[in-house]
Amino acid sequence: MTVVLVVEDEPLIRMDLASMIEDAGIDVIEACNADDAIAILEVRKDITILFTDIEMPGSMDGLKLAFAVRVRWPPVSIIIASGRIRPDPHEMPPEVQFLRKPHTEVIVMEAIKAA
Amino acid sequence: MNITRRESERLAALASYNMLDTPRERDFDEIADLASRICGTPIAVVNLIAEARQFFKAEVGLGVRETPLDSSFCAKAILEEDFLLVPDATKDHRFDCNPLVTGEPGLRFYAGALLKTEQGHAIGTVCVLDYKPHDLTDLQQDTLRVLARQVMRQLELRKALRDRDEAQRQQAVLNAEIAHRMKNTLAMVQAIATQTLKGVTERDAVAAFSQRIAAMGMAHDQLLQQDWEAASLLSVVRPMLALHGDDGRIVASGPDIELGPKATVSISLMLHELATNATKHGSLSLPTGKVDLSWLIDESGDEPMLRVRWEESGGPLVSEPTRRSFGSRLIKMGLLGKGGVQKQWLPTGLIAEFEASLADVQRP
Repeated sequence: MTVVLVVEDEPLIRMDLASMIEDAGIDVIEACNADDAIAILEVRKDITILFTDIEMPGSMDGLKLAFAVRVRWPPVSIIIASGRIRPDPHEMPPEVQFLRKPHTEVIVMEAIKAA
Repeated sequence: MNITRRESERLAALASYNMLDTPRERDFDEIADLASRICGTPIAVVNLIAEARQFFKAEVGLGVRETPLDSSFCAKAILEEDFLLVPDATKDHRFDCNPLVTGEPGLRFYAGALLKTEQGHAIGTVCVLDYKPHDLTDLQQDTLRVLARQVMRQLELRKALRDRDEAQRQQAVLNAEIAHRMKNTLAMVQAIATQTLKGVTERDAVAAFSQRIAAMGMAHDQLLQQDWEAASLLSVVRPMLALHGDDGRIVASGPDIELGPKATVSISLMLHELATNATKHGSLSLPTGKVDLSWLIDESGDEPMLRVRWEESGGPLVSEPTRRSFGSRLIKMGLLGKGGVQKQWLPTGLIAEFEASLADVQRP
């Protein structure tokens, strides 16, 4: 069963993403920064997809979070989103989808289906 | 006068310190005074060598703040050595062109440590002079060297502060420009929506969208007035009151608090939703209904908390809506988008209580 962890610090955008995914019948957990996301992953073993923004406050940005998740929870698929330019391949873990913000529902759901 | 490139670079370096022709300052006066006392000379100068003149930023014993230099050769002579000691100037041809030596008052002794920039430009000296021949001990010479370095430190620090102030000023200009563009962008979204949604028959949905964007725009307006740093809670509440409760049916009370940008926008949107809901389904849908909006800072716990209470009364019987709407989600997001909301649907009306740490609410 698919469970998506959405990590995004801007509340309205996070809410919009969660709503999109829920409307498609997929479970969503929300976190507003990388530290919270890690805390959730340590407790819940059912998360299958990480959907994370890059620019976030706290000890890690989304790229560092992606690397940390790839190392500690390899089965989790990763989707990275950003309003800035696409990071270089070496700045992201391999086999990661990258989406440009602002999100459209179509592109978000395609990425989740493909993850 | 024929100026070499090196010399014009030197003059430019000197000019960058903005020191020429400035009034006396205590920081430099003290240095001249100390130099004179430690070296036992009647005269001491913090000397800046400009084009064809020397300017005395600080001086004791001379009474003038500037003298001409008859030729650039003379200036160069003084600036050639890191430390120049001339026990009897009348016997040193390098001083043939210095009026202070050749004319009145007839100076005989000169000792000076160079003021040198990090790029190696010599811009002046800290020097001591006397009317009779002199010598200096090692300690006295070292003192002049140290004082010269301190003068350079002063000049560098002042320049750095000026540069930083200028950078800050430019940053403020940039911020204001960005804030203005953001406001335009929101207006553009509003315009695109209005035009795109013209054919939509559900005008209620279009109106709801329009009003939410407007609420966001008002929040941005408040922030803009303070260069996007903060807005006061009262200045956020007032427009909401004017829009939804201008007949006095929404009563607001609480201390004025500064909100950071995130809280300003969140709270504006949230209050807009609460007021809209109250008008459509809640207490404000009846003429007898009213809303009490109150807030306070609770200092009783580990950290100060902002507590906001929205209490509806005198309206129709209400109960918790079964469907989760965008509006209810917005309210549930709380003061900062992170929750901290409790809602009760009493028979008398909705009571919603919000809390967030004051630190989070005020975060820039």
